[in-house]
Amino acid sequence: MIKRLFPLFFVFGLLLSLTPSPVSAKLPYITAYMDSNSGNWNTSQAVYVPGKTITLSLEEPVDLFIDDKDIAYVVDRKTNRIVIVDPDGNELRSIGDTDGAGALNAPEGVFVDKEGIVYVADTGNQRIAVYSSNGTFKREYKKPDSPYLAKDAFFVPSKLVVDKRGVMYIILSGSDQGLMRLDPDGVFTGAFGANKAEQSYSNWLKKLILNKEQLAKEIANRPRPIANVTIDEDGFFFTASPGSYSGSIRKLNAGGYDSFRGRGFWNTIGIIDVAVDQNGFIYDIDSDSASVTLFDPYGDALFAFGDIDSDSQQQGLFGFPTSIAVNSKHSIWVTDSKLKNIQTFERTSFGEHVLTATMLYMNGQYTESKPYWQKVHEQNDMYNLTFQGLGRIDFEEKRYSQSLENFKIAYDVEGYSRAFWEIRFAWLQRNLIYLILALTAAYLAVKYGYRLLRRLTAKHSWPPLLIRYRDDLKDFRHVLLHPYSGFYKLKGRTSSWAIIVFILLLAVGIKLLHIYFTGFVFNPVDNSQINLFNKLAFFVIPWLTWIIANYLVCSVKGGEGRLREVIQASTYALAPYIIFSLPIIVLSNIVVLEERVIVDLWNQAMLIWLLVLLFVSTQVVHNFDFLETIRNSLISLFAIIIIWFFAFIVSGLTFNLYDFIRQLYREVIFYG
Amino acid sequence: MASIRRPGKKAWISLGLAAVACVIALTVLLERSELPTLEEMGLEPQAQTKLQVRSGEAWLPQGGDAAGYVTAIENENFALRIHPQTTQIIVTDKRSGYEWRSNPPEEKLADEKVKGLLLSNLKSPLVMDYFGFGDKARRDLLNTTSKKLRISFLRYEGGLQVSYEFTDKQIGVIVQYELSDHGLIVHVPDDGITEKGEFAIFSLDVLPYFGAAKPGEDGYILLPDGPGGIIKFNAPHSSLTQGYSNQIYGSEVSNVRPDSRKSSRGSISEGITYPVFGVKRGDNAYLAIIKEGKEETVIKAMPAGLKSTYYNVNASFMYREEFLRKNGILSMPFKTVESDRMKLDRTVEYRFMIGKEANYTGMAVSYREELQASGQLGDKMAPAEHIPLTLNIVGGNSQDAYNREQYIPVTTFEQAERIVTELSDSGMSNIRIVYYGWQDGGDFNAAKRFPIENGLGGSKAAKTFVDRMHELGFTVLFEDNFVYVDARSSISAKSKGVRGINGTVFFNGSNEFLLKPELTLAYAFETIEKLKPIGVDGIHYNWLGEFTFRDYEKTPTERRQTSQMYRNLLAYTQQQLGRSGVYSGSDFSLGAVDHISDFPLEGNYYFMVDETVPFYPIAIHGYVSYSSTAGNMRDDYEGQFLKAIEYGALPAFYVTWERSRLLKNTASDYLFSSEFDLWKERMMKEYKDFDKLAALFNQAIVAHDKRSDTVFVTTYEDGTEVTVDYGKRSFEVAKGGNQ
Repeated sequence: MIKRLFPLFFVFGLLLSLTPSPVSAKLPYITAYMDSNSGNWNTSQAVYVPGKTITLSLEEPVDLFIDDKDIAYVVDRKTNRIVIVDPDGNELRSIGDTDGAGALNAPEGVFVDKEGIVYVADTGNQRIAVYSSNGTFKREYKKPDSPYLAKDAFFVPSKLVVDKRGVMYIILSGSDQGLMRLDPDGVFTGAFGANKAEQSYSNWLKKLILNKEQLAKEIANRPRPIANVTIDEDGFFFTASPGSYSGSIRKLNAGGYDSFRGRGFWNTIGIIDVAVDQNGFIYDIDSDSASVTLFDPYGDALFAFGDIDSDSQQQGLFGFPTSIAVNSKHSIWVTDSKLKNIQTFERTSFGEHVLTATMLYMNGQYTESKPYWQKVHEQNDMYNLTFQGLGRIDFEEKRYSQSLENFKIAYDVEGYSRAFWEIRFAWLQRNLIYLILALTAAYLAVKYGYRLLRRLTAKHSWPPLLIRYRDDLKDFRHVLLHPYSGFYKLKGRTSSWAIIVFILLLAVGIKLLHIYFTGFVFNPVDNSQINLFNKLAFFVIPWLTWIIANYLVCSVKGGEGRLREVIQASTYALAPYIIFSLPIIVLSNIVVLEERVIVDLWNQAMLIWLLVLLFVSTQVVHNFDFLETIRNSLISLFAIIIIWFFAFIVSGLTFNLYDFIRQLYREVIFYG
Repeated sequence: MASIRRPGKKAWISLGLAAVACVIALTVLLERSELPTLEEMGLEPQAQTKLQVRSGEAWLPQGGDAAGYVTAIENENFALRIHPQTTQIIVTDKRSGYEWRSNPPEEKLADEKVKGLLLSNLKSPLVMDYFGFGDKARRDLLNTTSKKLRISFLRYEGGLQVSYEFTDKQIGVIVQYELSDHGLIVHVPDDGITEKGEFAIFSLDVLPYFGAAKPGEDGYILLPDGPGGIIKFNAPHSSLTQGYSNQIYGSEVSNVRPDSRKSSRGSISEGITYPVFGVKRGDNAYLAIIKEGKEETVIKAMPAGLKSTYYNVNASFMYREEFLRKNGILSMPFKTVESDRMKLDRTVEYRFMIGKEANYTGMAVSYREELQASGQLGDKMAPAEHIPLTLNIVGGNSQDAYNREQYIPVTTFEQAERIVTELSDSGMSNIRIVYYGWQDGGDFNAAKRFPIENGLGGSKAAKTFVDRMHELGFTVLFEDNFVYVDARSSISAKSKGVRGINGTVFFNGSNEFLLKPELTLAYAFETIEKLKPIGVDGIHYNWLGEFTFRDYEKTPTERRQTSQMYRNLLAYTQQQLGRSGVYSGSDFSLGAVDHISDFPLEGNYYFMVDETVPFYPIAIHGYVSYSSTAGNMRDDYEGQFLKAIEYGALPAFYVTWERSRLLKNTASDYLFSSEFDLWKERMMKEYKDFDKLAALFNQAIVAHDKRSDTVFVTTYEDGTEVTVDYGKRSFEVAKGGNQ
């Protein structure tokens, strides 16, 4: 089981800080790994280093296919040929550059089947040309006759794949109707795998508002065309469709169903091509993020490297990449029509270790993956997935505390929870008796200790101030259990500021406990990186705005509560938060993921209670009837939103002002 | 409270005055910090002697050979002929009879596809990029085929002076050719440049096609890419939009060039660290060493097919920087050029090699001779019984945590001692320790270093550690950065930061500014004093060996002065503490450093560069030690290890006592893996391998050969051969006989 924590938002490209460090990076590009916990790309050592640069005499390489013997077939559009290249980058022969029926005209795509039959998308000749493995022309497929195809439509194939039965799946240039399916006899058997037209809110709105004529003028909402396609060993089709993160890579079965269910992929908004290796790992080349990105078989991003540079002079920087392919040794080949070359990249030992470990781990071969994870750990202590792998292995080998530690490092909540269950189970087995004894003792101590305390305190005569404080606190308890009578009682008397401040501080203190001591299962974050001020602000500001809004609204609406009463009542209404939180925090450290419902129930109960108290306090303080209270509470909520909205606008405007002053300051300080 | 009398009006006034006085006194005190001046330290950059423009009676070349060339100067080994009309030159190497031509011969230009200016450039020994003060964004080229060019010659003792005057543009330039024992010296004296009118010189390419070759020839161009890179004339090359063009010591950091690269993240490329280039053609070769004005020189190389059918390489002298000017916050930046010319003399020496020496090894040896002759390289190192390991111990660094700056110690001085003791006990007997992150609060605050970070044990523990290391016979250097200053530091950027070309203080992408070079020296000077009582053996400086820059003050600090000051500081550190070290190892640091870390052993993966060769290592091996990427920082563990063996580098590692993951949120997050326990075995194994080369520690490399695509042999003075086989991933050391 692997945690599938896909970030909800996408950040364009790689987010990397290039601070000068004493360690010089030698490669012309950065390699980054996806830290799925933070959703950031962090640098690591290279997983791929530049290998060969294959120039041959390519003029415009636009497509690349590598067969299972690692022979590469390169489509060179300008010279109208398919160049066949051995794994060392030497030209073996070429196809389609001799006159005759087999002569190609600006071809754009190539596919080679298991028998070595070469299928070429002969774009300029508007046909599919088929050659035997030794390069002799065998047959061609022209535009098929079909009632589905418009008579005047051109047949402009650009890329294609062929399945085991010999059925061709063809991308037609500019077509948004998916892949065209032709059987081995050249008969059209339907379209396949078209993208869905995307429904956006603006489209929905347009449909509501605009009339037919206006709608007709709008640009039609067409599905995204498929830019490229590849087929893996199990017969799944991987399509690359640029334009949006979601559905940019799809894994279609023979029925056209997408196993990825339209999920999003990092670094694919300008996807050019996609490749899949024999282990199911996915590789894409993307013009938008300007990188090659590796994904695991489920589509989670692992590593990214490379760059695009219009004046590229260095390996790893692409000019105009056109196609990507991976051979059986996991070398990545990228064709480039601007540099007129093919760049290859070889896995480093770190890359080999980390990707093998990931592969084995995903297959559930935990024991086999162990030495690889250890190797990875020896080379990189920063990479998160290692600790997930090691934690899982520790778990299988029943070293639960070790496992717990590793899962915690990897922020793997599920794994952590499982290891914790085992540890808790063992602990309970050992200590159940003591636990029961301790609980009983605690219960008795509380029960009798309280009585004893009362008896002792009753004898003393207290100074009046303390008695007042005690009564205030008693109200606090009373409000919690009997809201109406409690708030009425409160309304009759004013509690001391000291106690109000005390309760508020207590609430903040408990919030702090929440932030720092909630169990890992419920709060899997690095405590040191929490922005405390933000967290507290989000706690305090809503409460404050509630008071302001409530007071303002209700005094306009004929409520009789004074500001002080509103503050006082709203403070006492925090009682459930204060009382419930401690057991919640303790529980969150004890329960495992499957039992999280217990904590969630407590949380919800607390929240409802809190709202009820706020509601009752409003009703009592302002002396409203029930319906009035509902109405005015809703108006208060609306007022809160308005207040925030204005605060937001004002802060936005003042930020501009602040920025202006800052710029001016810099100008004055650093100039002159 | 009530009993205290309210202060009267007078009291308020006097109190206020006192407060103002206090503030003023404090600011004055703070402003007038006790930083020593350059004069007080005695580390001023050396003054430069100016090249002389010769005057006298003009020489009228007469009696040329069949092609019209007239012999102008001659010595025992070389003769220089010049064509009076085109001013093309031919240098004959009398030892081999080979003729080095400044331009391809006319008859071979017939099959050039280019026309116009590009074709005429091929015929010119001089190409000038000029601009008009009216529209600084527009630039154009002038060459010796330009109309309205007045040429005059003058011969002087051992030299020939050619004066060019473009009369319509009112620009003049003087080129002086001299012959030395090694070859040709070309001067472009600054005094010879005249700009009288509306036009001015932007850059000058002298002898752009000297030794230019056609594809398919046997030979190559040598570029200062990494340890040395060659472009072969007979290899296929990718289609490129521009040639190699890099300024020596990197382009001006504060200048965002309008033509800077268009990659999305900015490509990573290390600057040139030594001022040479070379050409080999068959059995003849030359190495060009840029001497005067090297800091403002760009090395340019073109593969065939880009601007002509020739491969060529040359030094391009920069006279002005092009930059983007912004006149206000809201206005669009526009391209412009500096008004003032960099007043620098330019000198390039072309040293010719023949026969067995006509290759990159010969070029490197020739460069070494030049370094020795100019006294820049220093003496050979003392022999070492065992190879020295550079052990970079990272003490810790600071991170943002719990809403504040928090120092994360990962190796205290005590733990460092345990690391070294363990290594020493396992048989490592020569260790050079570099300690990182020792500054108070980590290394981000350039203004505050002392007391030594308490989390590591403070000064006391530092002293104990250093003493203990000395007992073991090891040296300890502290690493520090006196150049880039984090804006979080308490130093004022306004008064202490380097000003960029726009006149404002320059900040880089990480919000750091550059300390003025004289202040770098002053802070280092103070630090040296404070490190003395601890017994530290030296400082390993960050950023002192990598680059140089200009401070655009009213009286600017030139790049040459910056690099000289840096060299002076390195030498001063050696003299005061014993040792100094840098990264990268630019040639100006040679002779003033004991060790170079992160010495480039890889090129920058240029498509154009076909092979990386150990030019720079051959030139300096035996004189200064160097280590490349540390063992635990390598991208390719085995491959880069073998490369270090092949190029004679020393082993280096980064270690921490605690796991490196603790540093994940700090600026030291580049330490992917450095925990000592994880690395100890591998370090020992690698050390034993490197130690097989101990006897070669202070020997010069005399030859480097490629036996096959994967087998390389490096030969040392005593005949020892180190064979590295990348295919088998192994190496062998065959002891030489002529000890």
